[in-house]
Amino acid sequence: MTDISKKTLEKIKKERIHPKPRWYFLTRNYFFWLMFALTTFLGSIAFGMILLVTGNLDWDIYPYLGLSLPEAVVISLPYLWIVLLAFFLFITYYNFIHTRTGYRYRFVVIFFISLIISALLGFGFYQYGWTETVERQLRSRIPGYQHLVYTGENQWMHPEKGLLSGIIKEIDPKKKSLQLKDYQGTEWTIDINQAMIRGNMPLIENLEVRIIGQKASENVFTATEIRIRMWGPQQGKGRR
Amino acid sequence: MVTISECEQRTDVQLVSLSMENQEYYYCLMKRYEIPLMNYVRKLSGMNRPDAEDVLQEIFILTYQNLNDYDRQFKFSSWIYRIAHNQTVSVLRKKTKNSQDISWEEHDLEQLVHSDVDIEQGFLQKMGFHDLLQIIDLLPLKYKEVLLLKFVEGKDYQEISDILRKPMGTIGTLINRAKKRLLQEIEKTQSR
Repeated sequence: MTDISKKTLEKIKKERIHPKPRWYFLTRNYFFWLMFALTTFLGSIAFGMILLVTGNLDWDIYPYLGLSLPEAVVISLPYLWIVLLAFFLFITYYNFIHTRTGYRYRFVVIFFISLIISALLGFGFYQYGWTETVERQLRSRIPGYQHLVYTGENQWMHPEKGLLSGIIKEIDPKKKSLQLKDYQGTEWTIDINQAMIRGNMPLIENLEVRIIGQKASENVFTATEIRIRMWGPQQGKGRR
Repeated sequence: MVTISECEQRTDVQLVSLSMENQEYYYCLMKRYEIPLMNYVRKLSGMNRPDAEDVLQEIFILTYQNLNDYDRQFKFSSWIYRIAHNQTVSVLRKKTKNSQDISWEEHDLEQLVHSDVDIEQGFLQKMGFHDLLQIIDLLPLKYKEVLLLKFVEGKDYQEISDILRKPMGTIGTLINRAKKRLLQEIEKTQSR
């Protein structure tokens, strides 16, 4: 048998082969930890967005849209954010198993631990209103974002079915009416004579509201209930 | 020149440190693993000796280049077997295997048979050594590699886990499935 060891040592000497420096391997290992942290952070944002989007929906208005609860759940789930969360969890798993001893843990263990971390951080982001900032940025910077996620705005943009939402542009206390600009840019005159107002603040300009009522004529809507739209963890309090 | 006797009382970890300073010590490490790794490469791949020698040389060079990546919390043998495994599998994917030259030996198969009470006793005699070799060689690589590491190389679950970079639970599952699959293949052959 050939002396492979001797042959190899000669080759190492002849070709001046040297061990790669330690920093090269440390950098590679830190890179995977850094990517692990980054994807966990992005997964947390995705989780926070799921909380924000689902919390922003009103689950009691589906009868107006002629939908049962299961149907409502199917159309309302924030699929984009669920898919992104799953994607980030998978990338987190991939990065973790490429750390020095990450392969010793089973997929389900890494997956659930990542999910728990993302859920805790995501809940924190949601509580501090960071996801709300992300949502506003996405809505203003990404064209068509509203079509990708079934938001409260999508849910309430059905004037023919008695649901309308938008921003108050002007209030006329004498006529008991207000001017509202919906999320598609249409201006509406809202008759609030019969309206019950739900929220812990008075109606003011630039306030986001959701209205239940009836379309009276073109761009005129008679309100029976007005809900003041709160953002983030405050949402829902307007209904009490 | 460092002599083998100088290296004999040194541990693998000491030789790794010394190899960083003096390449001659790396010769001792290579010598220590030359035969076991050659057997492993040949049994895993079914390569003929000259091809396996080329692969082994690549393994030793890769190991040398990566010495600074060796983490002392692992056994050096697990680490070098991991490199050997990855390199062999990588070469196997590129080359068409020469299955005429299978290097499993009767002794290896006996170890495998005696390792498991579930495996039908005496089947080795019934079906013939060559047939069994062919069956093992036909098993998917993921089964063949765990059988080889466990029953031929005598590695424990932790070592196999470190070599294949898979959780220990997965290794246990793979070994059980590999044994079952081997039995099924044997039964199929016997019923023909």
